Amino acid sequence: MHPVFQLPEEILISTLNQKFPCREPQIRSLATLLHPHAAPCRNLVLYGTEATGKSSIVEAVLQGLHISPSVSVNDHDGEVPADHSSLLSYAILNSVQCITARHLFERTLSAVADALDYTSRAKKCESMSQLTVELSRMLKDHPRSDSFRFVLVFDSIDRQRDVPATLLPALARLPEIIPRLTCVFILTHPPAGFLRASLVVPSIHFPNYTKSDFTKILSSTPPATLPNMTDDDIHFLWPRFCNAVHDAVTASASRTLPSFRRACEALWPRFTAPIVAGTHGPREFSKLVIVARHHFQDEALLNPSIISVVATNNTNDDVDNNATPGTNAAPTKGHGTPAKRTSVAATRSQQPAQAQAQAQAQAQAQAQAGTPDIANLLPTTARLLLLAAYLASHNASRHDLTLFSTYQHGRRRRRGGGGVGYAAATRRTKHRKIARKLLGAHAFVLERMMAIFAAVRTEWIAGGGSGSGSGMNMSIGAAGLDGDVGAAIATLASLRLLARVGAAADVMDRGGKWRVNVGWEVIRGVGRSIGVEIEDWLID
Amino acid sequence: MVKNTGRASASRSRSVSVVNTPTANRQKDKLAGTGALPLKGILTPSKRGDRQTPRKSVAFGDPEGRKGTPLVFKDIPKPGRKKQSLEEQLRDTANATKSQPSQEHKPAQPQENRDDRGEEERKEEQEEGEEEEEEEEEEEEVDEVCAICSKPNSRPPNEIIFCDGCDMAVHQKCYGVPKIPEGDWFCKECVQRKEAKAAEGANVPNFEHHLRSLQRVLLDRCTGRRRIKLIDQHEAYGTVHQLLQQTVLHGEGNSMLVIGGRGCGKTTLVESSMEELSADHREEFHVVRLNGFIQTDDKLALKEIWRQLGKEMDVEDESTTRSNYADTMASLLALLSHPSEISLTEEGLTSRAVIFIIDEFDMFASHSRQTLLYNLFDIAQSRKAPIAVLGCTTRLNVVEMLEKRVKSRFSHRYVYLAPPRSYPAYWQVCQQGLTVDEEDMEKEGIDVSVEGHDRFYENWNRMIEDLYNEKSFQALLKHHYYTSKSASAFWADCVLPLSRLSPNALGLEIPSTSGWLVRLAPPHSKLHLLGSLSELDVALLIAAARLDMVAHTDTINLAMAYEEYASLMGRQRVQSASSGMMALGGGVRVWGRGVAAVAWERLIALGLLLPAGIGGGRGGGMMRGGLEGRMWKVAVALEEIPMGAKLSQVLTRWCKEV
Repeated sequence: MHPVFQLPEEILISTLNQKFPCREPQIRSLATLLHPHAAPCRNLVLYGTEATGKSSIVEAVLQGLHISPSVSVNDHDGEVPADHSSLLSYAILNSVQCITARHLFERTLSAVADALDYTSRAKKCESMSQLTVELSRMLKDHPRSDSFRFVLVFDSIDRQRDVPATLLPALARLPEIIPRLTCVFILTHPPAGFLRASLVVPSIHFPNYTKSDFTKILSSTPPATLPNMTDDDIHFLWPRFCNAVHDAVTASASRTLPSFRRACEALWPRFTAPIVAGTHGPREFSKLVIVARHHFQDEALLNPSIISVVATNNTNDDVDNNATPGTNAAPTKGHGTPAKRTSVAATRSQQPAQAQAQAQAQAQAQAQAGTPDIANLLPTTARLLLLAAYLASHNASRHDLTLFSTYQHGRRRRRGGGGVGYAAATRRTKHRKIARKLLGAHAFVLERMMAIFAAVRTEWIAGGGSGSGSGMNMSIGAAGLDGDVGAAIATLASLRLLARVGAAADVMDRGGKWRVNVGWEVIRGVGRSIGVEIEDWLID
Repeated sequence: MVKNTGRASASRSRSVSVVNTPTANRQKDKLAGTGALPLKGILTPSKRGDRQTPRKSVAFGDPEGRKGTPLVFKDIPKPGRKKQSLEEQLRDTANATKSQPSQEHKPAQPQENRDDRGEEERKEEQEEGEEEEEEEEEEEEVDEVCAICSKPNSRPPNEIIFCDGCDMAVHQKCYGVPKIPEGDWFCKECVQRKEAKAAEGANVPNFEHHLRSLQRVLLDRCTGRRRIKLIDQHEAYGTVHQLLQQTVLHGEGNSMLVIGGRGCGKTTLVESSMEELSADHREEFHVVRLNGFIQTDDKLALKEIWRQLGKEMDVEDESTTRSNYADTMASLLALLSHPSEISLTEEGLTSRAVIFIIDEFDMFASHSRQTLLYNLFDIAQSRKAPIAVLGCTTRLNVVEMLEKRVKSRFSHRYVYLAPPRSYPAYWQVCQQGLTVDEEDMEKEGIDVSVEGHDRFYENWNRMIEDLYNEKSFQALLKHHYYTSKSASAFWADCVLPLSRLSPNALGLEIPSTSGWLVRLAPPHSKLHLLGSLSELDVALLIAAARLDMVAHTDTINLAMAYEEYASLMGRQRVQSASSGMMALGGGVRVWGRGVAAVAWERLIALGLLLPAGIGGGRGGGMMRGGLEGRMWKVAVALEEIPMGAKLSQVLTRWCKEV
């Protein structure tokens, strides 16, 4: 009466193993725990960090079990209708794509209906209770074989937005109410007892790949052959190259498979450039590594930056001879290969003419740097205001008198909080004090910033040795000041370099609270652009 | 007898495979080539003198058993799989030289000839060896010397380990165990004995059928798809059953709370008494099941009650479309009330009892005004209609959550379910996941009449008993008993080992040591995430966690963490430069701010950094200075970090030296 126990077919597992190398224990356990005739469990949790194959392996296993022919062959007495030959159906829901819980419910319903070929389906589903009813209508009351199972996969359920506290426990109860349902939850880290299920939920860990795994995975997809290299050479060089990239970049800074692959793809043309040029043979691995060492140390591989897409007529993709490490930008994490292509293309176009390359590099540097170059773009008043805002944000107001008053002594007296390293080295007391500039910006009243601005303006402009200083004195004359300042504040606010705190009535309200929205690095650049070392003006 | 042959064939196949490996041969040639070292020390039992008695098990493992083969264990390179097999092979050679004085003068025999040797000879040697072994063991008990080299010294790279089956003591290197395993370790004899025992069971007729159907039952129990028996809960069961019976048969209104921790059998208790009841009186009552997680407010709950009752009672459809809460409530009350109280009666409907099973009862108590509970308890108490309200909850103080008017209508009957009170009781519960009782066979769909049934189950139960006596199994069971007392946690560990059983591989291993099975236990803490981090990620995390102690702040932002990271790195560079480590590749790379920001974001995404000040504190909000300035809390403590991941020396020192 009960179907006997049966393990998932080896052929299924071996094909999956080929498709997803280094994941055999997980595939095996998953197939066992989902197979209708093996040990199908009620709830299942898959956890692990990103890019470890959780979602894709679940999908592949389910697909394999869904179409697996021998599942139905072993079913008893052919009471299964011919069109329902498969003993397992599944639906995968991704919480990232669902805005609210209700969105998730409705998508779940329609996915289940799709998977089971239902034509009549509920239009709306507002609550968990309704979802339960509809699901039991579709799954429970439907004549199917005894061992038919339906698997609902909730992918990245921990990212579900707008979620009531009872959602996860309720989803975990569904298989109790509908016996032929299995719920699979995929998340990064399951908090203890988050499903509040009465049975301990089996959890499968997907650990990150190890070095040998990484290399093995990438070795399975060697790049196309290049001139001066045979296939054998590639098979010799590529795994060693991957190992080197792993040690240089992946292990130390960004240990995920996509970033590893991207780093390999980005470095390969540069690494093989000497071979293509004919200066080194393909078997001289260690020499090649030494030649390409500065590429391996190139931080731009991982550093996210804005990439300017420069139209190029050069379409030769593989040769990338003199890409300088500084200018070649790697894409940010989210971008796929297309973005990288453009960056490679952009750098490559430097070859033809030096002048053009220079211009391009500049444009690129500007585009890449984004905010750091803001110093060159802002008018002086705005720069001064920004500095004043930074000081107002990072200095306590009780120090204002010491810093900015010129009353008794004619000139500033004590300045120079010093950097953290300095502070940390000198007074290492019981608890080290954290430099104010690291603590983040505090809100300040606009009036205070204006006062600081007024105090430092003359001094900075007079003392500042920057080239445009002479013109500036004029522009901040007594007459044009207020209008300029208002415009500059408006500019800074619209660029979101200054941010309003709270809902003050008016932008020009002098009692309104503001906060500077740029970090230390930027401010230092701005300060230096008008010849002011801003560090001297910070007091801890 | 079976045992002996099994072992003989096993050991033969092993030695053959070893001999065939090219490396082994090469190594042997090399050793032979090194020539004139005398046979001494390690191989010769010093206490017993030059006793050249035949040893067991590996008698024919030597293709070229000649005297004076120089064997120096120290020369063998450090572990590695091939090397391990090499060691094994060398040991075989060593044993063989000792054990076969008669053969030693013979020239090296080709391996084929050895295979063709008579079966009887083999057995003889086997038995001989066994007796010898027993003698030796007695001696070893006293002074704990290695059974192979007879030396008592035991130092870390080459410790003496004891078999957990027969207490045989051997050196790691002598026996070819490169790493001391974490759980139990069994010598080859014990492993073979176990396999032989399993093989014996496999002779039962219809073996596969028995095994597969047993697996089906056990796995269904372990994954919670079949209900298990309640153990030692007769009193609770009696109370619940009696209450239900009174409602159904005598028309009483009743209410009761079943209180107990998760997974201690509340649902099993209620459902099994329902089952028993419905076996006799299915036609006399309706059941309504509610769950506090699913019916999240009274309105939904009422709708659900209406739906379930309507389905069971075949009430006409128009009533289910009522959307008004008051209407639904009124008609529900009418439905449940006694005909005499409400004039417009619907005949026949109220004569049947309704049983409400409310799971997660405490959730209903948190609904505003507790309308549903009030009404249900009111009906139950005032004998308007025969209903029973059974609430299941994990909260002991659930009654205090009830409003006064609700509480006064509750009958204050409770059933408490406790987890198993003693270790044997816990094992008794857990055992149901591994064995099937004789009286349950019929119920579980196992055909008792199939030939070989009794022998198979006798065998199986004996195997489970053996398993129970194993140390690692006991450790697992005790771990679960002392941490959670949850039987299902134990069953979760059984699922995969049970499913791997097949007629060919009958060794049930719980906890499993094979690398092909993952453990299904949920993680204990976030520390498992640390293993997948890169060095920069970990370094930033450590820097952030250090700030907590060093600078006495509990919230940090990227700017602070990066500054700390950079200063630590700077110090490290100075140190390594002064000690000349830089030249040796000990120099550490300092990553730039941009890469650090990516790493920081990854830490945030993994939940290792938690947003600080959600409640509108200083740090909250997206506006605060972008990524650099936003404040976070570290989710792991500094001391925990080295436990979660294997750190480099430098990082470990950062964790220690504050």
